[in-house]
Amino acid sequence: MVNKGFLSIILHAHLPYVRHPEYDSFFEENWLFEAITECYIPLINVLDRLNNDQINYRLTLSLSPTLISMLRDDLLQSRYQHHLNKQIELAEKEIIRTRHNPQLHKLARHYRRFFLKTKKTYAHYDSDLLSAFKKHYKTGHLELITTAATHGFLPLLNINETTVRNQINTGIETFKSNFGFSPSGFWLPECGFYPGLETLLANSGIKYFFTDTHGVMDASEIPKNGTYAPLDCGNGVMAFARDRESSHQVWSAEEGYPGNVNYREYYSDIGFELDQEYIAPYILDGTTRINTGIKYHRITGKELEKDYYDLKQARLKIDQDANDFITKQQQQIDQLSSTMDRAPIIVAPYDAELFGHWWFEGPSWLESVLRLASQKNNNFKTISCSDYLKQQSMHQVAIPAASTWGDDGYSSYWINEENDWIYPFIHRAAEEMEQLATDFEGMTVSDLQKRALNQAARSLLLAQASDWPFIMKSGTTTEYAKKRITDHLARFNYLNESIRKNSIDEHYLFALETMDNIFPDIDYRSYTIKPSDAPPSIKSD
Amino acid sequence: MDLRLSSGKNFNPRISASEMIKISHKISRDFSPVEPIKVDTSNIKLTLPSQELLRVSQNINLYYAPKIVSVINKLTLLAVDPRHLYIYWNLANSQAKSLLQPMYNNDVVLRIYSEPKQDKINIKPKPFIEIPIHTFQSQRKISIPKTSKHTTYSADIGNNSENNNFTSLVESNDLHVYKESKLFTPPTSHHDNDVDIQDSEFHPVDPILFSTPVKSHYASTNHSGLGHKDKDGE
Repeated sequence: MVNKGFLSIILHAHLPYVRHPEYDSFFEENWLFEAITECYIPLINVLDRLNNDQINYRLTLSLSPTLISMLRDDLLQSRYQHHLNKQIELAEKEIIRTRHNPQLHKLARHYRRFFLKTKKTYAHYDSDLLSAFKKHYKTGHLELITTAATHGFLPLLNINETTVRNQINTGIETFKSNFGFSPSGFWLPECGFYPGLETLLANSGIKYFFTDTHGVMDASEIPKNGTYAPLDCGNGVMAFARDRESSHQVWSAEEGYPGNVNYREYYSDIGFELDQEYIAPYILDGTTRINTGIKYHRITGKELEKDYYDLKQARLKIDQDANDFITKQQQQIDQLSSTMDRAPIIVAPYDAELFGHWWFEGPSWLESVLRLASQKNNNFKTISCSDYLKQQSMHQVAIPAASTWGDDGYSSYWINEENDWIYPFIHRAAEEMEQLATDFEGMTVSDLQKRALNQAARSLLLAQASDWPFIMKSGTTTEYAKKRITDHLARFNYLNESIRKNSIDEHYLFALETMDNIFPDIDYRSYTIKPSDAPPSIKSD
Repeated sequence: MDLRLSSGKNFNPRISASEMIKISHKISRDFSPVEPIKVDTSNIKLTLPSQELLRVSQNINLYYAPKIVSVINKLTLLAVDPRHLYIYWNLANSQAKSLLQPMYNNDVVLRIYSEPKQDKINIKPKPFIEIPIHTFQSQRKISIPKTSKHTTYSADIGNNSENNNFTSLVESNDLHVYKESKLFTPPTSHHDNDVDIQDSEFHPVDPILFSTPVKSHYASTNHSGLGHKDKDGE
């Protein structure tokens, strides 16, 4: 069949920095371990199978710098190995416990196989999942891109351009030092764009980024191809917009695929259901119940008693939903290609953690979609945005509108009565970091001072993560978010004062470098105020 | 038990060989003993014990947690959505503080302009709204008129003198607010502390009388951020 258009699926993988060497185990580190078991390794297994079967596909994966750092970290790798061993052990106990219930027993055996497969993949890549992604990048099927250093929400950090520049550049540098090349594309945290950001992206060598639908639809010029072709921001950087249809099919809580009654119920986990004494070795401190990853029920339906999960039924539904998705894309491409002056591109970005964690069947669905999309009877191909730009270099010039993919399309999720208190502090810290770097410019800096200045920059970046205000608003692990931002700001304040007073305590500095060991190549001098960054005049005594 | 039952021409199993193989494979797949992953700790270079790291972290938090104290005047605008912007200020210098005394009878005002800051040499009157303020520090969400085009806001805090001259104490950043979208319904949520600017031409609104309550920003309770120390480390 003639190729009439393209589908670009982008997975954005990100977790905040949840490394806690000051504790022997820490609840929030489980976020990483769950994501490795349920999302990243299943994704790698999908890519391995597609590769083995020589399926022709193209997928884009954005890896955040904080996630990159944690996946590479020796301490977290060893803690993950311990976590996985416990999961296997629990699955084996479950096989014995459920031996008189055939349905549960079957599921328990399934989980054991699942965890064993996870272990096998992890060992195969020598605990280095980044090498797996790099391998698939080298096959030409996977495009790798990145995002801001600590996923800072740039529209609320942009009163200080140095801050935004460092979020972008530190992110790109982290990616480059781990993968050996610079990314072409950039995932704006929360698709948070504002006019002017395209200039900073261009200065950093980025060729394209993503906005939400209304970012392009409300651009400075009416987009003649809607969201089905990128906009040229006037400086060679291209803006691709999220497609509403393909987004709704997956993300919609009411109508999206993940909500189907045959899929696994996320909230039904044996960590919360089984006897305390039995489950104690597998939950936090032996007392605080947490997810174990072993869940026996399917969604079933609202107000209904949860039914046991049926693997075969789920599999049938996966294939049905994959076919449905492909059919819808085909219809959309057919419609669009007849009216556009170029081949349309449907841009379908999703959080990577949806696939496997929130939606257990997600990776299998993705695999089915990519297999179906590669078939010759399809009227479209999967593509990355880089490929699309190689095929079609001239695009309508317009600046996207300020926008995000947040709840209401703007910034309110990140600044509201739950989290507004943080902004005076993080803005002030950014100004102080600039001042520190500028004051030391041209001076001979001792090794100790340099280490302290670099560590101050790390603390600042970590305080700027958009995850903290997001969590405060969503009300999930609020105390943890408050603790993290307070920790990082306190560490920054401590370092700032120590540097200013020339009283750097090396023992304390070493402790901070050990706890926050991210961005090893950071250079505080990137915070030096440049003439164009000079702040507006401020009245003072 | 006669072992000859298991072999020889009298052996008559009730189950076929292929089925036996199938069952054997299934049992092997599901019940083979598993050697746990060897947890490799050789590369971990934690040269400070975790207790010491925790002690350092807690000490720093105790003395350096962020506090609502600032030594410079500051006025900042942030964009929330097409119908709201967010403003926070801090007046730190003695001049500003003296102007704010006595409470409720001073002429310190917040001026919000729906235009960017201008070069002071080019004096051109621009429309503004004035909100009397009586606090050194505050942060507020402010409702603004809807707009379908790119609009820039700026603000000043200053003093209206007796002969109606305005002296700026601190200027804000320029803020490009969000443009109203054809695709989204403008949010209309309002909270008690929000300030409304009327949709029509600017005119004075009620003064902001109450400061933001001083909150403790040191997380003194820690329900979700649960760290665990092994018994040896306690």
